[in-house]
Amino acid sequence: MRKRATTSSATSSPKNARAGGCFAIIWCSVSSLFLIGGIFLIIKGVKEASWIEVPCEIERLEVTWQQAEAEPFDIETVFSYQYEGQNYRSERFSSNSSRGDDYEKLYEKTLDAREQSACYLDPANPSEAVLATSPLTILAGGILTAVSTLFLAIGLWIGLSSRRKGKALSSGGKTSQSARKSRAGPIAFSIFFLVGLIAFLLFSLPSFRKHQALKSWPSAPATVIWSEVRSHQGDDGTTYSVDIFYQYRFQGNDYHSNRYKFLRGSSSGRAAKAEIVASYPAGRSLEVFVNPEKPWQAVIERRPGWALVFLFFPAPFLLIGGIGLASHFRKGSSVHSPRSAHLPRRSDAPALPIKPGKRSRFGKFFGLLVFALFWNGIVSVFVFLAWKSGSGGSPDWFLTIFIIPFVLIGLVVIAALPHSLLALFSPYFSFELSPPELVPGTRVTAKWRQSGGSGAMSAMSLTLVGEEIATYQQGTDTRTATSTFHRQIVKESTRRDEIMAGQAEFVIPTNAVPSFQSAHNQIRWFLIHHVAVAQRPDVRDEVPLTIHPHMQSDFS
Amino acid sequence: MKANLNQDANRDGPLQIELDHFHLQPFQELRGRIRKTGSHNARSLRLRLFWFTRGRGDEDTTIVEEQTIAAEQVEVGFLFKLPEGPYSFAGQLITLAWAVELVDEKENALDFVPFLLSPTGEEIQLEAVANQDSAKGTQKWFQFRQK
Repeated sequence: MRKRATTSSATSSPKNARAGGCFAIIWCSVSSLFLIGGIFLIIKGVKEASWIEVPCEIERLEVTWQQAEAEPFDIETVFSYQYEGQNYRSERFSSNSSRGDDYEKLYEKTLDAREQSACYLDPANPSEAVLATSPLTILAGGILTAVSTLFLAIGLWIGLSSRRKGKALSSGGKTSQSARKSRAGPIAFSIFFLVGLIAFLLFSLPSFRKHQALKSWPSAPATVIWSEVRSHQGDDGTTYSVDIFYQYRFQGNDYHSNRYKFLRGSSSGRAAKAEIVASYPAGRSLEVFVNPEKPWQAVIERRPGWALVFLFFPAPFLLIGGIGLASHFRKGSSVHSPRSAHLPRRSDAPALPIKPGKRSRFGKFFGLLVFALFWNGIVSVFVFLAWKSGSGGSPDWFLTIFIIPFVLIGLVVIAALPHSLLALFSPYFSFELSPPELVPGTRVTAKWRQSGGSGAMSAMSLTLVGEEIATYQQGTDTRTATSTFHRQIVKESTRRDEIMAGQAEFVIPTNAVPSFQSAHNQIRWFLIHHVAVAQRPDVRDEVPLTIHPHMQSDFS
Repeated sequence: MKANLNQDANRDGPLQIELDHFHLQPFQELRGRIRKTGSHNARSLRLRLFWFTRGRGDEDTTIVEEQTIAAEQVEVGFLFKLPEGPYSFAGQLITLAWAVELVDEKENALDFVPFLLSPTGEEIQLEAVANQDSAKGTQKWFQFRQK
């Protein structure tokens, strides 16, 4: 019988494997639904693409309207065509529904169809023909299929990775699993960045350009045909939009449009929309602004208003993706050999003197300031919407109650700012440690001196601290747990001269675990320098210590 | 709590790792042998010296050295020169352990033997201590002068 070494063990792999397996099943199921949808679209697109194009004579092609309908506009058409010597007649515009609530969009479809003067028929049933096919169906199906296949592959990979029974424990290391894990981060950040970039190029940039061009659109006289607030039922309640349908005359021709602003959409809060609609009753004359290059495009209101905020939608994706990728590549640039990996390099001794406070205090203040501006900036938009709905007589209670915790967080962050700002003016200290290279058992001399800042200091302490820091994934969140295993006060004083400049001697415990850092786990040593300051935030700086393992000569 | 970490290996398999010592210091030589006790289908064998973490944090593993082992021999000796660290330790959140593992060409574990690496040859125990730090044991945002 062989002897074995026993070591302590906390959480073991099977729990993670089960969680990974369940997650993978849900992930794969959802991805599969999208994949089926994508394949269905491709089949539909391919079927349509096999239809034959034949010349046709359009007898009637126009956008009609019925105010009472939820989608008030429809394309009505009559056209005739010949196939294999037979005459046919059809009234179908496309294989999909030709109804809609955007007049301009439907009108553009009729222009395209008129320009082509061709129809598409099913060779198996020549009496079935349409004026317009949807060439984007295959593209949309292809994109949906590709994206959902990618997600399905990720789900399968997660599922297979969680089936580790019988697999080598060591292969979870640099050669495979941790290498895969280290790739997962940049892949996720790349996807974020890509989504942001695509949204910026396809949505934000054209919208910005159109908004700029819109400023030079000439005006034209118009008459309101109808105006009403339209309701839209959604998963998160009812939203409303302004629907003002008008006729206008531009360069001798009559046109119609129901575009109020250049960005369409609906939102909660009926009162504000009702107010707009009330100011444009049916029959009222008004001035609209017309695109001189495409005179069927017009708007009543040229100012973008709050809708402009939506154009910044890609910004968080670009920022998170970009910062994540930059930080990953910066981390990846310092690679140690496997023998010494995760141990601090002996050449990594900090430059003397160490000035611990300045950077962290400025970083904390500006970090808090940026967060406060970002958080409260976003929250204020919703506060304004809630206030507007309330002042309009029909308060949006759901929105009002929903934003309360977000507002409270914003207020707490603002309240923390003065403390953080005051800390910038508290005293700063510089430290010198000797010897510069520390191993367990080293006798250390730490010297400090006030190097800036001001304040009446009444007491100080210097504490040697050792911490375990573990980073772990919980659902989609990355969490960090910290446990202190060593805490030793090495100096305390209430003498003013000693607080301003002094020294302390202490010994690194002989059985200390050296500093260590791997991808998710860390052993960290540092000194906490705490100085009580009157009428200012206390100084609470951390002086990092690097404790190396013993050298070979220490064992001989 | 003490627990054996041999859970992932096929301990009754046809190939077994034997170590001369289980409590080792940095820079020492880790000696042992692989003994064939039955028939196996592995076409190639690799013996790995590695460390890994367990605990609250996501697990990290690093292979320090790998040796190719002749699959057909009945007994093969091996020797690894141990590095300076990291040391074996067991904390409240993290446990770091060293091991040698024998794997086949499909990354299947054939045998796995943990050992301890530290200056004393024992696992270093990290006990949690109370979290209190400040001058005079107080933690105040503002301190006003007493009149």
